[in-house]
Amino acid sequence: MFEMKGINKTFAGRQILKDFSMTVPDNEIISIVGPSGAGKTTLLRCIAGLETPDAGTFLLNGQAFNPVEDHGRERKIGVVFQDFNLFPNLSVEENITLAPTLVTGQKPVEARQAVSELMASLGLAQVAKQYPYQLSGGQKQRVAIARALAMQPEILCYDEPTSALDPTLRDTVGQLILELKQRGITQIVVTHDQDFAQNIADQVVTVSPLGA
Amino acid sequence: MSLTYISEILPSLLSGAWMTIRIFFWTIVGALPLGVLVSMGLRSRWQPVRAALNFYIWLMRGTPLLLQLMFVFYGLPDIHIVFARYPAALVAFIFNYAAYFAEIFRGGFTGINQGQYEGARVLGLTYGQTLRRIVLPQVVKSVIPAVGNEVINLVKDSSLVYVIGLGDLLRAGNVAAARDVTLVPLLLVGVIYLLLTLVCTYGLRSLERHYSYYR
Repeated sequence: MFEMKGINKTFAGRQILKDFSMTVPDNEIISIVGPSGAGKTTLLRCIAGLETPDAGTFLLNGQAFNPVEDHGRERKIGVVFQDFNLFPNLSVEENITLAPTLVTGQKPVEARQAVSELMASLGLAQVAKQYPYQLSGGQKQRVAIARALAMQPEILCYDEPTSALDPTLRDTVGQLILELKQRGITQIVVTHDQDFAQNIADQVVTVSPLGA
Repeated sequence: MSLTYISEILPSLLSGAWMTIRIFFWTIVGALPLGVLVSMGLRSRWQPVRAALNFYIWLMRGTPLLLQLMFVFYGLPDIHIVFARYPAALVAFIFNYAAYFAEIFRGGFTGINQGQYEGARVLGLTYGQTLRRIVLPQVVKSVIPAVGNEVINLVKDSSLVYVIGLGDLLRAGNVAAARDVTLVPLLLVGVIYLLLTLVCTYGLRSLERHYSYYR
């Protein structure tokens, strides 16, 4: 269970988030929807520890939790970015095993073995030796998901998972997110796509622009 | 242009070329790492560090290398910093080229998407790991063409060391040309410079090819 209470965030005098609270139960999918400029991405960046909220508290399994201090092998939050942010100089397999080897300290061989099943289940086994520029958008996204999951996060966050993809792939991503739920993964999905959110989420949280 | 004459002057030209190669080699070895360090310093959060480094770059790029060579060899002894000719040349070349390299690397760092740092951060990588495994390899790839330009320039700039009395390739050619009243030595000097830059061009191309496995 992940809780956020009274999150406030202001950028350059403009308040983006005001007293935002939500609860994410284990194994559920929470969608955060709203128009652009509503602060969805800011919210996600606060959860990911990429922004520091001006006020508010986070609780993970009842314990106080500071996303900004969420470092190293104990890192709890995984993120799939809108444009994936894969490392272009590393192969698919290296992208996925980089953190397990550098951060968790696994040997490269162990790390490759540990992620082989994960990669196969995401249809990435055949592209393991390829580089990001050689992949389709859908494949890149699955690499990003595998890369995050390889660190066994408590919560996996997505920023606009449908926006960088072909419209026909929208349902495929939805299926994948639901499959991951079956594997017991708690997920937070930020999207502007209401229908997509309704289709996959256990709970839809709507944010609206402040004072606009 | 008799072969006998060429074989007579070739040894002195080659010994001059050897000086050119030594200056070239040690300048690269010294200036590249120094340039990387300076470019990282330019991104420091401490304003005085950035200001000092920007001043250094301005000084190095804003005055002729020839003047800098004279200053190091003839000027610094006034404040009791005395270099022999060869080390003086290396000091001037390394500090001069490091400034150019630093600006090139700064551009390379700017070209790296912020998303790369964030992608690494949410995986739990430290800043140092991110630099070493993600950022620097991409920076190196992106700066090879610009660094290559400077490397080729350096081959020819090394001829400036004549001003502090070092015997390099061009000087060896000049000496022979004046003594024997012929342009043949200078022609040969041109050919040797072309061969040196050919080797550099080939090396740079191979380096580019090495990094072409990704985009």
